[in-house]
Amino acid sequence: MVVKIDSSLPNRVSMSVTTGRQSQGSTFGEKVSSGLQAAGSAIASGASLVGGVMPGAGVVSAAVSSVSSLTNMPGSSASAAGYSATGVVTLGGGATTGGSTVSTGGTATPNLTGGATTNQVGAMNTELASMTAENSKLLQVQIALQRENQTFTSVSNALKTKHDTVKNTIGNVH
Amino acid sequence: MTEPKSDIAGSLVPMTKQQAVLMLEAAYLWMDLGKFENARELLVGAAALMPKSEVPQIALGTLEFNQGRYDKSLQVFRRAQQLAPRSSLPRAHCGEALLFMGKVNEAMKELKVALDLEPESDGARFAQALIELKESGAVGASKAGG
Repeated sequence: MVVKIDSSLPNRVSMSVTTGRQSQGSTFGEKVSSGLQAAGSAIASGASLVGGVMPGAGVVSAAVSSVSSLTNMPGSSASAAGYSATGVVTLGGGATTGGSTVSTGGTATPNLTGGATTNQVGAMNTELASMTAENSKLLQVQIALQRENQTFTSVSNALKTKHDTVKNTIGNVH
Repeated sequence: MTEPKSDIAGSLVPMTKQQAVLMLEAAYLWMDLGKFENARELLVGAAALMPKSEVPQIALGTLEFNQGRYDKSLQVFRRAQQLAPRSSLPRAHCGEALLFMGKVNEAMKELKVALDLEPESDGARFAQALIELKESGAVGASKAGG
């Protein structure tokens, strides 16, 4: 409240209008809390997306090729056969272990018909265990796929270098 | 009448470079087609015509290698190495044969020598590719290296 005293005029009392208290904006804590909630929902939606995609990864393993297929390719050369048909090059074994056994979740259907809470929890546990096993197998497939890819690249590089070397050697014969 | 000059050093009969290249390329083509006997016939002839060159010997070694006869291929590659002791390519091929025989330690020694002899050559590049192949685990893990 402000009281203004003017000597020329009779005393007046001036009062400023009371305004409503401005509320403070959202505090740091509140913002952190809302951010965490947003992140949590994003992770949850991401997990559901991954869950939908993961079972399909079994299909990827079907596309895994092994270097032994080099011998079956129409254009394969004898040198490639030398690298692949020896048994020294061991590829493809790891990739098929996971790929052939990963199920698409058919056995993991929860049994919710019982109605009892314990049954539901048990079914959920079974489903979770099944999903964990599937994820583990998919991880194995991914690792095997990566290893096979690396090996394939190395073999391909060695064969290409050998071919180029032979070509240059013949060209430079003297 | 002057003797025609040969492009190939130490050849039994005068040979142009084109003739030598043709023989070797034809042999490699037979080899890639799986006609190993035809390839051998050409390469034995080429080796007789070019007794001082390591190239036909390397081709003969490769012929044995492609048939899975690694010990035999190693012998032939060693002959090539004797003809060109300062060349990295025969060394790299020896390393390759040893690697596929499972003698990893010996193979790695040969490949490192090949890298040191001519670091920028095709032989060194081939040796490096073989070392990377071994490191990837694709070869050399079957037997204890000699």
